[in-house]
Amino acid sequence: MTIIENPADVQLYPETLERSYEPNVAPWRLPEGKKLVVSLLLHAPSYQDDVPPGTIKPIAMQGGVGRETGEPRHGQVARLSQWDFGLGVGIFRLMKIADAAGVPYAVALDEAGVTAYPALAKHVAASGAELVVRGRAANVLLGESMSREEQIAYISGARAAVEGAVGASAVGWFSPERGETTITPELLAEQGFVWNGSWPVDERPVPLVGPAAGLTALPFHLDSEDMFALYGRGLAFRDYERQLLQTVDQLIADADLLGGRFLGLSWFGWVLGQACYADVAERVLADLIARPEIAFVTPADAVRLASAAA
Amino acid sequence: MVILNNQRLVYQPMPDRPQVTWPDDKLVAVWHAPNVEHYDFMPPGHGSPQGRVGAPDVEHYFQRDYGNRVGFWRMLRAVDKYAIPSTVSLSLQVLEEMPDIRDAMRERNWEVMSHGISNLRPIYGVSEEEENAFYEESQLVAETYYGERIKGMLGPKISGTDVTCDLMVKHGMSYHADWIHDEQPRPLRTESGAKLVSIPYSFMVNDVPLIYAKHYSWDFFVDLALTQIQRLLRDAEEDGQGRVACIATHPFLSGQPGFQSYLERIFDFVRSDERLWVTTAAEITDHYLEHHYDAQLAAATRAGGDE
Repeated sequence: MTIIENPADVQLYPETLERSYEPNVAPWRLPEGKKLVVSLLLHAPSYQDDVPPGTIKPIAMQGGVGRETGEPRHGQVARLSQWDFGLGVGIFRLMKIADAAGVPYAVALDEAGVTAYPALAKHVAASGAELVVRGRAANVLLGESMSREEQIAYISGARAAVEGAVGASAVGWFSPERGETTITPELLAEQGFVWNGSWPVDERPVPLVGPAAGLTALPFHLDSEDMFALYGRGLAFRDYERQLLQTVDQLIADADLLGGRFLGLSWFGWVLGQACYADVAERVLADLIARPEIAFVTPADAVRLASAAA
Repeated sequence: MVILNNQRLVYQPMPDRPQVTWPDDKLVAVWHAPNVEHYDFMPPGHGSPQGRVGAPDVEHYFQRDYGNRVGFWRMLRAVDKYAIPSTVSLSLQVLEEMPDIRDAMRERNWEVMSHGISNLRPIYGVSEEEENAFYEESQLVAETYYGERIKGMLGPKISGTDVTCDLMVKHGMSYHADWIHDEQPRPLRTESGAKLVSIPYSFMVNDVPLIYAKHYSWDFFVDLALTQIQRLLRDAEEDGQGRVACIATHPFLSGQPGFQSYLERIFDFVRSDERLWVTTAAEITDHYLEHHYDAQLAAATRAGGDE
């Protein structure tokens, strides 16, 4: 019995997420005295200027000439080409920076990118990075208007294309523009995915329940994401760098009180891979890798650490 | 057969490409692109230029006209002080209507890059016939008033159509600045197979998007520009790949009195590093076409990079 009468079509909570709040959650005990688990996820999404009829596209997204976020008029190639920068140049700069720092990482690819650019997939295969599936394209989304069968085909089709091109299997998923439906977690679990990075929901990995049991929400927070910070918020790059380091300081301090923390770094080839921003990636990774309290692991390993501790 | 925009791009990962080198072993080519624009006082259809007030939008019009009346000339003093070659992204109307500016650019041997006729006349959705006439008129204006044909374009208000690249090469152009997908010049596919090069322009190191649209400070603009060039230099030192940096300005903003010292800081930096090739878009394009276009295209095709 509740006092508030909610409209009939409202769903208050996702059924796959336990409503558990910080004070009532058992601390995450990390091995070897570590306090913070950090995972680096590098995105290499492909933006499509022409999409199939009926495609569910973002209402707003970043990139292009100025601050406008609506879809550019057909014939303006600024957004298309800026996102494409990430595939030819930016992702390789970020991978090189991570390799030089000795940081393990994951790379998220989509169907359009690996189909058009097999060489991109080959490089990711050779890098040893964890492979993550990132849907069909940067601007081809899952949506509530799609049938269950259409959503299954979207997820399985993207996965088959990405895995086939790279020649490796993926257990992680990240939805383009973090666009999902109410049944996406369930479908990801059904298809054997182990983690989904689209939910910025916590400071530790969160095992989902019910129909999505087996899938973990691995939180890659917006405020630590370059696209959200530098484009969405318009943060200056030196402020973003300072914010990341302050976040790490606080998470490490909080770990003594709350147990182990997780930080997902979500960086795009077309954003932090730009020459004007790449120094931030280099300096932040150098700082973090030198801290003994931090375990730098791939996202899949972060989930394994969480499962082992549970 | 229309080539879709995604398919115009010739892909090869940066680490796999044949090397691009610049004259005299320079590492990074820097080009300054002042956008000298004309905005119609009453634009075609008399629509609102900025969606703010109806036409004439005097706030919008006169600020930009101020850029040509005053700002351009202040900016010119900084350009002259540091002898910066410039590739003017030009509303071609300026050549016909503003002879003082035309002559000043001519005296300094500025390269004219088309930015359309007026910056309130985008070419979105025009027919192929209309767009063809647009290039004919553009080249006629350039030849008549500037004495040379145009080699490249930044679309008016960054607009284009599905056949823009194809028509540009038909009218003798060799580079297009609307694509920002790389730090090197790259081939763009055209229907005829004629060579067209994407020259790296910037909407980041660009005063209007950065300062007006994204609200960053003048100081930040300088920081970003210098950080960009320094990183490109470091990477080029490391992998031997020549790169390109563009500094895009607009006289109505970069020509403002308070901005002059910031602009000079950028120019001073550019002139202080011997590893930089301070040049124009056409010189970069010509060098790339002569020395690297074929090798890079062949390598991308051979590697099956995107085929």
